[in-house]
Amino acid sequence: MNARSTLDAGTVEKFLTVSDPWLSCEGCFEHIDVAVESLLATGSTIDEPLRVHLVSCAVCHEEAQRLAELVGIDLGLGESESRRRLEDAL
Amino acid sequence: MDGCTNVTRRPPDVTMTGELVGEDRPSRPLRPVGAPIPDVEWIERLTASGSVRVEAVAQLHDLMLRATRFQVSKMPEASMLGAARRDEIAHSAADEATVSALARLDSFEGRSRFTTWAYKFGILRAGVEVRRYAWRGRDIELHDVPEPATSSGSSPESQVEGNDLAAAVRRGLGQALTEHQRHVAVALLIDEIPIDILAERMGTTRNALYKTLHDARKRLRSYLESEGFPVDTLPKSAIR
Ligand SMILES: [Zn+2]
Repeated sequence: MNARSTLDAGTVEKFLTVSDPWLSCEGCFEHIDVAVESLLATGSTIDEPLRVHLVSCAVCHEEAQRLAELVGIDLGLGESESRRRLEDAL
Repeated sequence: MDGCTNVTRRPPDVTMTGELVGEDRPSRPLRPVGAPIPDVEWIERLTASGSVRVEAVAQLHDLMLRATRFQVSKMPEASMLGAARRDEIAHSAADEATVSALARLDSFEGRSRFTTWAYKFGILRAGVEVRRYAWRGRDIELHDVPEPATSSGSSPESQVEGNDLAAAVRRGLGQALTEHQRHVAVALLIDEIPIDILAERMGTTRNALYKTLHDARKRLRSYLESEGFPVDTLPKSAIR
């Protein structure tokens, strides 16, 4: 158990995170490329099941951040601006 | 790389004047050097045969390597590794990602760029491999619920509310969840064990563990509601 093994406010919040509407990690992987590119290229919103999944699944969230940064470079937006747009959309 | 003998580094058969040579010469006009490959061309070439496909697979591998190197360079877990080890992981992940993407080529619907679609395989594989490396040799124990910490809320009221909620969550973890749900939730949310590592150690899948966590969270909220905590005032998201 690591040093943060306590039920502090942040941890309580993680336990109570709403993960409905349901989307699996596999479903997230299926949709993430279209969602991230549409968000960065056209400013479109992220569908609710995917948004909820990214908020409630730490590893998928981190992978989405990375994809946004990489696609952002391709689109000429830059890494930090792309990451900011993703976080704002969540 | 398992089952992927097609990933080779062979320079394109291009003459000094820019003409493709050989029996696989396509009928379309030549693309300028360095210009992005159109999505339709990626699919055509990756599903072709002979040297056209070999060349396309090598280009896909280069794309994957870009994604895996990017991911590895950003992961804190990889920062302790030497440059040679990081590059080894990036190459191995690019190999795996190339195989995965080729196996799922029919799932590309052209709704994103091909490059964006491909990157996600590289990012996924690199993440998995770095975490696996970072957690190698580390035992993972499944724990029960720790004691609530003293709240850091600024006002006496918020401290009381925070402690009440934390205490109720602790009771809920013990009473409303199954032992399996509790162990998974504590491992993921308190011990912060990455979900793919936990899945590997427990002999299950990332999907299955996320479903367990999803069910646990629902049960916990229901328990809190039954205990008189108004659900709509509870936090909804760990990020916002
Ligand atoms: Zn996930």
